[in-house]
Amino acid sequence: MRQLTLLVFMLISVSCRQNEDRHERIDKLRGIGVTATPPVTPATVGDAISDVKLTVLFAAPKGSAIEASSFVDKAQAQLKVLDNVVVDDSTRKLADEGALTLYSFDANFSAPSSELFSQPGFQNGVRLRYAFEAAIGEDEEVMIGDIVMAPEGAKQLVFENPVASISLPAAGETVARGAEVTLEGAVESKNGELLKYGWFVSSGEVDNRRAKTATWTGFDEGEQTVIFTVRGRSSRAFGYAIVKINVQ
Amino acid sequence: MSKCIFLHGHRYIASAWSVLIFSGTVLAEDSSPAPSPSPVVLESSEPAANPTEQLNSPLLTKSVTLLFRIRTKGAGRALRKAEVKQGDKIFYSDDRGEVTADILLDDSPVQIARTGYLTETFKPDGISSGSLVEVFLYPAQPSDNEVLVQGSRRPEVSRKSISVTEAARVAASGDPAQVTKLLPGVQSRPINPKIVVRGSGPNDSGYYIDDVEVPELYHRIGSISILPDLLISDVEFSSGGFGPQYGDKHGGIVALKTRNEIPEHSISEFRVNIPILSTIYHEQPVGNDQSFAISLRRSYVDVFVKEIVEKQGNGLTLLPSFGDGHFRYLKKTETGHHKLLVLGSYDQLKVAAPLNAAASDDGRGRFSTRQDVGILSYENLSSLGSGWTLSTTPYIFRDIEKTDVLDNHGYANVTAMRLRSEARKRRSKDESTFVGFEFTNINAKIDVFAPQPRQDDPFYDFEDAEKRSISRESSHNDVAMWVAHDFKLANTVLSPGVRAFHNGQIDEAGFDPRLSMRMFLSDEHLLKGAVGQYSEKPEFSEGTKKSEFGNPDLEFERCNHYILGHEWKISERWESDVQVFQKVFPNLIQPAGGGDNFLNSGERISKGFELFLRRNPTDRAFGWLSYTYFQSKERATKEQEYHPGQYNQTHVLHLAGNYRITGQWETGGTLSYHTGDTRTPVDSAVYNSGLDKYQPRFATDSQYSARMPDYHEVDLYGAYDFLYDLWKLRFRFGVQYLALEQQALSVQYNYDYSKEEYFRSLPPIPYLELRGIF
Repeated sequence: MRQLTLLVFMLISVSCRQNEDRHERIDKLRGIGVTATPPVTPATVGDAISDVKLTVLFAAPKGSAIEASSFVDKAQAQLKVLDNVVVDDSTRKLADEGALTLYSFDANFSAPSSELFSQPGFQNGVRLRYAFEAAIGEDEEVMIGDIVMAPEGAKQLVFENPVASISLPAAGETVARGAEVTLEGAVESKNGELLKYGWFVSSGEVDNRRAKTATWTGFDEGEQTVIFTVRGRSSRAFGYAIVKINVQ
Repeated sequence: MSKCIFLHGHRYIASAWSVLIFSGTVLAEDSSPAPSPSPVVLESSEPAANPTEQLNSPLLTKSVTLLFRIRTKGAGRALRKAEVKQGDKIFYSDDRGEVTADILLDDSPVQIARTGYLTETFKPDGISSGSLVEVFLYPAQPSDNEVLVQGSRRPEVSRKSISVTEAARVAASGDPAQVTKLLPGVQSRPINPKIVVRGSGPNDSGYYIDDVEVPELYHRIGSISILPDLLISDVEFSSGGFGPQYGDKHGGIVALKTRNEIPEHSISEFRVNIPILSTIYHEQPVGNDQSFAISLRRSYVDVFVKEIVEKQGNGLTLLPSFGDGHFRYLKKTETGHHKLLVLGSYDQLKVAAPLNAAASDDGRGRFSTRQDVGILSYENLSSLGSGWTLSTTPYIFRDIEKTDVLDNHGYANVTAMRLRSEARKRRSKDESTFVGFEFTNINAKIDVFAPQPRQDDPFYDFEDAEKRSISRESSHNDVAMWVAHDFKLANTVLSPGVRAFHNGQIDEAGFDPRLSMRMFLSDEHLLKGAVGQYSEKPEFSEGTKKSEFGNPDLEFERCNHYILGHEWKISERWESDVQVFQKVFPNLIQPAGGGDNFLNSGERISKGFELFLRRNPTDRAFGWLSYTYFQSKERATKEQEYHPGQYNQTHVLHLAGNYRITGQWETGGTLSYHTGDTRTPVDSAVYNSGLDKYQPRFATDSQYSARMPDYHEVDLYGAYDFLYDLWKLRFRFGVQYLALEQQALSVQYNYDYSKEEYFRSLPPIPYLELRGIF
């Protein structure tokens, strides 16, 4: 029965943990997500090259100077690791969004040949691994992810990236410091797959950052930023929304 | 009008309506006729011919004749040979605890005494002749003179036998099956009741109830064994070098031996453990040669946990529950016994909690699992004549498991039918021949939709992994035969044996030769040793001949045991056992890439030293000191360098003991020290944008290179028996997890693995258990 007691104790402890480090709070350089267009790519067949655009998004506290680049993640042996991802320097953009600085850029690659589907384990689809690293001085963030390459005729090839929006709080809304703010996200997705939600905030804590509706507390005064993200469970399709509010 | 006197320890109560005197015959309240008392009068007292004569004797004008009924306080059992003494006259009770005695009505007190019980004294003022005197004697502090015989029916080099009386007192959760964690050679894990034995993993040891192999001996949720201590007589544990009667395991053997005695009286018990579970148990003798026992256990921890968790208000739902039921029929014969055991158990856990892996609107992940285990076994032990005995045990074991985790599910229904039979020819005390046979049919149905395991991927993440749906039914047969012969050469008993087997899961055959020896240097000193091969089939998930997962070409995992030991009988009460051992695993099954999934490519070497210093049990006290020094190293392929083994706990020390202070008070506890478990440190972490979470990365050359901190743990308890005339209430209380350095169970990281902290064991927890024994 010791084990049962431990299990209960551990679960309660973990669920009660008030960790000073919280994933949702962007107090240093963070990866937010990557939008792939298309989210699920066909393979390159002969001369019909299948190009994919990745829009990469990092965030950091306001005023940060972020630099980023692509690299080859060789650690993952079970995936097809992309070595042809090219960052489009002309798309690099630093934008202040309330208390945060968002850094985005596009990167492109051509999908591998359909011959890959003939290899063992890849008949039903291949996960293509990309990797980016960003830095603010010595603060580094490595962001990796996968794009699914599906064989011809796969229903996932018509998937679209979900469209996210934030219903609450309203953009520009003013809230009192110390209040509890309800966060409510909305999503449009035609893919019919499970969706994984995530909240990011410029300060404070979100009680359950995986819930579509959550409670935000403990935020600082001044302009604050809330980011709502949504990802397809199987496709990794990505969408996000941002609102700024004022805390007085 | 006569009186009945009740003596309750240091007080007595007289009442006038409890006994009838009719024509000199004493009738008790239940009107059942008491036998004619036949008091024995020693020395100056003359024995009365019969009570009626005694009552009518004119010589009794200065005395009265009383019928004493002497019983144990707390059980109401008749006490034979109890003394009723007045002056120099002594009368002894008969088998029913009754004695008729002539008692002088003077100032001299009457003493009622019996060895092992507190003496009662009273003055027989105003008592009428013919009265019934009911006496309930309190138990005295138990004797420390007589050592209770311990020993295995079949001695082996590394086998220890612990009685349930000892095990249930000092083992974790009062579960005798877990006493093995306090014995040498065991590296226990914090969240697993199964044990790691001399470097072999938790699933590499065999768990038995008598001759029935029970792969799921422990409740998954409750973690206690599925057999209550009331049905157990001994726990036998072999940490290596065991004989060929056990196969398919290269770790240790844990065998719960059920009781084979027919009780003289019915036994009933209820037990309330707060806040975990309750037990009811009843055992009923039928005649002198049969008995049946039935018990039920059910946890109610879900009620308490639900209350606690809901008050936290953190969105956590936790509903654990487990229970079991048992029926055992025993019939003794002139040469053996018949034993029928029916056992059923279940474990269930439902959890819903905010979860990083959740993909639902409320951000909560859901997990539910249920396991049902059933056993139907029959054991027959009989004599075949000419020194041959035959033990035959057919049984059915069934395990049904259903698990749902997030959007994954798994269902497994496994039925194993086995016939196990062993014949023994006993030639002398040290010479016997054993011939055994085992046939097993296993049917399995599996339906799984879950992430594809990639155990060779150091960065495997179930959330990230490709999912696979598997639905299949399979059936295979296993056959094993063994022969062993014990014979004596001079002062040495040699025990060579061999086990031959064929396993249907991998369609492979093999044989394991084994040899042990016991050299009696003197009455006090014994030198012993063992060497042997131990083969174990792959886990089902690692490979079967016909399955599409795992590697169908896997071979038996083999392990060679080498043991040398010395037993020293220091005195009647004290003995020691020192052993050195080495285990070599030349073809350890290891995860592999390249489509093989698993290969027999690994190697492991475990070695160590064990000390077991035992204070043999008496009714008053028992205890032991157990120490293990252990080293283990392994590698996945022969081309790699060795790294520390997963179970490499260097020092493991246990001190366990119990002492009965009086007939009603006892106390005891355990003290443990462990070197911390090995672990693989996180080297760095990356953010996976598809999963919105950080994933750890480990340096490929750092496997098990770090350790948790060492830890101590102390469990203390006391028990007091409230004694009533016919039953007793045992009140057991204690504190668990007292520690100077609490055990680190795991390493917890922050969200991006940049900070780590230990998740420590429980704070000291008081507990309370009430047992009513009738």
